[in-house]
Amino acid sequence: MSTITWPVKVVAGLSCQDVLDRLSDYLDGELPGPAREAVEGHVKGCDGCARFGGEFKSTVRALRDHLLRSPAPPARLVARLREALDRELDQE
Amino acid sequence: MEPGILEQDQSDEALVRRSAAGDRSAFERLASRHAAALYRFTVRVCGGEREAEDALQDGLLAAWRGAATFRGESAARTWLYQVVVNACRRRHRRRAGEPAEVEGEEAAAAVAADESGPEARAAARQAGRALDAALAELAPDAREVLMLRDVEGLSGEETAAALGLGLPAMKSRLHRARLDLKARVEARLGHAIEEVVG
Repeated sequence: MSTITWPVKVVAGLSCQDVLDRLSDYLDGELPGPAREAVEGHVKGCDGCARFGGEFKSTVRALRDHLLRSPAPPARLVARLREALDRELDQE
Repeated sequence: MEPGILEQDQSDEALVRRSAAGDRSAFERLASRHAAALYRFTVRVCGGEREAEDALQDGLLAAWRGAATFRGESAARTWLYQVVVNACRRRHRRRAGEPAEVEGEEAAAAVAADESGPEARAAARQAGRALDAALAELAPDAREVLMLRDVEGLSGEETAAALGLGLPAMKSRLHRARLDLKARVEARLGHAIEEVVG
């Protein structure tokens, strides 16, 4: 599956594929300084990577925001767990 | 499982140790503290509310039985996730071949509730549905890593430990899962999510 749909470039010593491969580490703040600066340098000179990187970050953020607002566990779950613990302790 | 007044003074690790000694109230407090996050994880990874409840019950009972095996080499939260991940995986193996339920209409509505106008609400609902459906389509191992790292916010090391992976393997799986999710969401929406959720 090819993810790169824009004209491939080499900017700041990195190709678009190099940047794509490093996006998660970049997003997670896990690239060491020089590698981070190289990614940022590439993105400044490559509209395709800038757009893709922004969308990538937004998707991850949207997933978190969306799911953190999912419904709380149903009240019956607590009751079920207590009953299961009761049974467990009865067997001991 | 009401939180007690001393709850904030009780670390997860202390509660696990007390659980290992047979203190049921300590275990209930620990379970209560993490129930919402663990349930959120099981709903998305196990595929459906009923299955999620069963998996969470299996996992928490396994945690109760196995509390004495907690060595404190990882955070208690990571250990709890390990136990629940394993419970989900056992259920997946038993249910292999069955389609997963798609969750999320209620969650999509929750997202929409925070938006202002009707167009924004409609767009948020659409984005929420696309995220739910795309996530449900992913392989279970991709859902696991996205839920732990991106939704629940475990560190890279914690996520790797909870999944029984080395850090490089977890990072590789996470990156592939994020790319896959993005592609699937965009295929459903017809555009990138940035245009909707910003």
